[in-house]
Amino acid sequence: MVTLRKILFYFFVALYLVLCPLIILYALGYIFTPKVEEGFAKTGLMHFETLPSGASVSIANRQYAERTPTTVRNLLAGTYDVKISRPGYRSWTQTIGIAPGKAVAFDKILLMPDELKVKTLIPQSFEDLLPVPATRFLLLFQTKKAGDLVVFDWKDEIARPLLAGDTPFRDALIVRSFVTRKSPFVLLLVKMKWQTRFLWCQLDKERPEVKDISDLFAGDDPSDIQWESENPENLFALYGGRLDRMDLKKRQLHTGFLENIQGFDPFRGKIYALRASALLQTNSSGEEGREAVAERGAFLEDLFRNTGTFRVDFISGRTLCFFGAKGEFFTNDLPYRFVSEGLRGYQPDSGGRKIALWKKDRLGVLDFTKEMRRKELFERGPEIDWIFEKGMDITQAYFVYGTSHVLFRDKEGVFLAPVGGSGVPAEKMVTVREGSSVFYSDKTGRLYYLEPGRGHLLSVDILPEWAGFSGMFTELEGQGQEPAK
Amino acid sequence: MTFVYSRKRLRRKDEFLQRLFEVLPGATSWSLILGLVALSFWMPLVSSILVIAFLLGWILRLFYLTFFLVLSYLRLSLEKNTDWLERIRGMDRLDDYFASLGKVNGRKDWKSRMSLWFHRKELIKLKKMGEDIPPPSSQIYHLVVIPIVKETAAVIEANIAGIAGNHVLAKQILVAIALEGRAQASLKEGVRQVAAKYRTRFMDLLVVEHPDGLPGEARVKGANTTYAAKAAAAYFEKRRIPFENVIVSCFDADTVVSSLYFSCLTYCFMVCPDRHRASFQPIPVYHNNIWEVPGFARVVETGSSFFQLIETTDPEKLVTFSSHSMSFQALVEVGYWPTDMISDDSGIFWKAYLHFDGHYQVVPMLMTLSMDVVDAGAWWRTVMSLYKQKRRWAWGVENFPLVMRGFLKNKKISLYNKMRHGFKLFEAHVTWAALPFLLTFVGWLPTILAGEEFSKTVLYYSASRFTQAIFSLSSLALIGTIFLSMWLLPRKKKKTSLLWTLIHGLEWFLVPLILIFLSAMPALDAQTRLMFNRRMEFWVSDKRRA
Repeated sequence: MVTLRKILFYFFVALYLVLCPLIILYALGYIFTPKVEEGFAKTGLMHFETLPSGASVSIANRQYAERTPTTVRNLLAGTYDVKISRPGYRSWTQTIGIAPGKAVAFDKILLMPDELKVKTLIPQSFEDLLPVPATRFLLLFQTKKAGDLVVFDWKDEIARPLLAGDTPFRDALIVRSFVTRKSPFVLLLVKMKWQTRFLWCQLDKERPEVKDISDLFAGDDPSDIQWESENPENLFALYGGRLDRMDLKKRQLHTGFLENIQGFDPFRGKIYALRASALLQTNSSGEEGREAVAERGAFLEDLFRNTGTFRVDFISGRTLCFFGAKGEFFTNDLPYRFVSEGLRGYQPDSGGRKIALWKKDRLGVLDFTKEMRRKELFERGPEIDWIFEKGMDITQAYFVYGTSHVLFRDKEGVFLAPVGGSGVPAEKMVTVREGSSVFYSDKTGRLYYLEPGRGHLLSVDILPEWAGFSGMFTELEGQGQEPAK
Repeated sequence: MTFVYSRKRLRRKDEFLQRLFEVLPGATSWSLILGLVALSFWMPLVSSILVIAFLLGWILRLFYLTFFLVLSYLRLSLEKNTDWLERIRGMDRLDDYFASLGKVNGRKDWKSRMSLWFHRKELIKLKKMGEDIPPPSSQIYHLVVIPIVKETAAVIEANIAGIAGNHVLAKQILVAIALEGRAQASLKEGVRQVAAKYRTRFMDLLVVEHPDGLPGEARVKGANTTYAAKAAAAYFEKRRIPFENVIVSCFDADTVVSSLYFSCLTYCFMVCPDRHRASFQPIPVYHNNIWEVPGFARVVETGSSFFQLIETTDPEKLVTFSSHSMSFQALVEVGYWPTDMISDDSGIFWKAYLHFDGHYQVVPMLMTLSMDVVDAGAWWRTVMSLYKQKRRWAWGVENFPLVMRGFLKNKKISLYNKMRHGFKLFEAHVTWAALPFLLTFVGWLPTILAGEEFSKTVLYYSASRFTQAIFSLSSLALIGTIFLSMWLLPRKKKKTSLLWTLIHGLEWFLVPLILIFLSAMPALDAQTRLMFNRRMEFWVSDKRRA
């Protein structure tokens, strides 16, 4: 036994000494190939994951037996034409460069079907739609009349009129609509017999409830109205630089709740307001004193100098965005000023760590999760990665399949563009009614839009039906995407 | 060499060395764990390479050990039906017996033939020794020391009854119950009743009460057994029984031996050429209450038995553990068991090894003896009790500084043997504490914590693939272990369905958790205590039987 043990011990030691360097070299990408002069070459690899999975991979016209998700190893340095295909789906093709020891990963390739699955949801003509962010409701406008407004529950696919038949506001003309993230309420500003009325509508009732709260408003033309979803009893209306607070429960108006402000955001029971290049925080009930979150100083003065009003927006507990009237876009993260002018809107992801932003002709992604560049003298933050620069009139964008793709509306077309500089061009999905908005739900993986000719409400599957997991996670997190700003 | 196998009353230089070697195992274990975690954060590439090298070494080692586990099990099963008594009686008339062995060879089955082949090999080796023939079996005596502090009379009686079951040799056995003076009066009374009941079955049965707090002693088992062994020495001297004809066995209180145990031990003693420079190590199994304890406790203790089975295949590095036997002459010469150490079972081997300048070995016995699995009643209390038991076992690391100091002083032990034993002792303890952590967490860390830069390398993909492959391969060893455990465990008192057999097999999939919580953590705890000079006291495990 002792001798056998010794023999086997030395055998295993020898095996280890031989195998260990070979495995480590292989793990680093080294292979022996007679094609290369020295015999040994350091290779790279490509990793592919597709939705749906099971697609075949062809690299440099060589078909691989493995189906996605798969990793193709031992690729010598160089560029390769890659084609990923699956019967019934559009092929994904790209030219990919491989460097020695490096891996190129495409872990969210979205394969679109040859024929998109379009479904007619309401065969009635609509002019426009308005999504109520992070809720299950869409508002569908047939005409400008409040009586023609339809509420559509996209989760259960049920439509009903917003106003009951006997309401006196049926013929009122809708001037503006205000919605807030996660809140099943909509505030309609309507004109009725030359009078401005404010209608407070609750959508998540079997018969939507509508209250006239016009008496709580001090003026007819607020530039913004916001409330917190957790506290829909307190509305905040901005008139120029004055913020009024309306208590719906006590039916009280508090004019001049805050004065001389440039923008505000109700967030977690507080009101955050931008005033004289300082950020104030106060309790939304107004019972406690105000304190400055960011003190006035040269830096903030420089950042907000000569600018008008801002939309202040906490997209997560740690990231605060400022969206200016002239299209400026700042955040509280380095390098603070991302866009100086011309931004039309932005759309954060569910975690608030990535933002899709668009100008008239460009669509970009800002990724706060990217590692900071190290070993640089000046610390830098992330930069916007402009993933589409040939737009004509971009008006909306939504993240799709996590944050791997962005679905955006450019004039009457809706396009899908991959994120991450893969070089794959944006692909047209559908054509929508001129001037109408669209809505994408990451819970259903569907795009909701109005048909170009007839204006019917349609949906198209962007993700396969069974891929609603991203929505599930979002639901668990209690967060959803906001609408286009 | 005269070496005081103790950490007490040291000179300044020795004290420094003692502390240095006390810190070393714990520091190494912590450095390995934390170092690889830190590397995974800051140098994931280096960390991944180290993980690959480590996992490859681990899987090869696992296969190597599994092979010897199977081999050891087969060797044990070969001797299952061996008539050890016949063999020792035969060896009393060695030449005739040797000649007769060839004649019976043809009639046996393959297992018996293999067993006889090994037997003949041992006899040939013994005959070659010439003068150093063993005394006749009738003149070989046994001293069995059973330390007791809080065990119940029922447990002690089962132990004594097992020894008494060795009918033919029982009258050559002196049982010394080493009773702690601090034990409860009811226990003392129970012990005396058991002693009275069984005394006539043996050569004699002594109940030796060990007074508490003798100078130079700690409250440890070794102090108690040493006190009883000294009383037994006086007994033998009085009856003019030479110490060299006495084999001393130190049994834990819950030990139960088979009726063949002492004939097997006598055989091992007789065939061992250097029998007074050897300890004899049976394979401890924990079968007394194995079917009455929670599944995880069964897996833990079966794992311990397997470890001991594997160890028996490497006698050159085997160290005494738990219940063991040795020449009484050797025990007296080395000055009995250490009286200030918890791990007196392994301590006595190292003490003898240093005393006899490296001319000391442990002979594996192809015989099991059964003990109790820790059982504290409730599930959680059993976990805690098992944890403390494993920590006590891991406290065997206290031998490392003593052995290393002994090696530094001893000029007669070869450097090779010093390196071999020193490294094994060190590596075994560090592996015990660090390996499960490295396997369970650290191996995955470079992949989990990968930053953007590392995640774009070939190594990132290769490392996770390699780790998965290694763990898949390791399941082969696990499946082998499951089958062996099913063969090794005793039959249940009640017949159970195939489903239950399957469930018992699946208990082995608790191994990753057990390795962390009931193996690595107690070991790391023990090493950390030693590192910070926080000594442990002997703690008796909770054990009960239905």
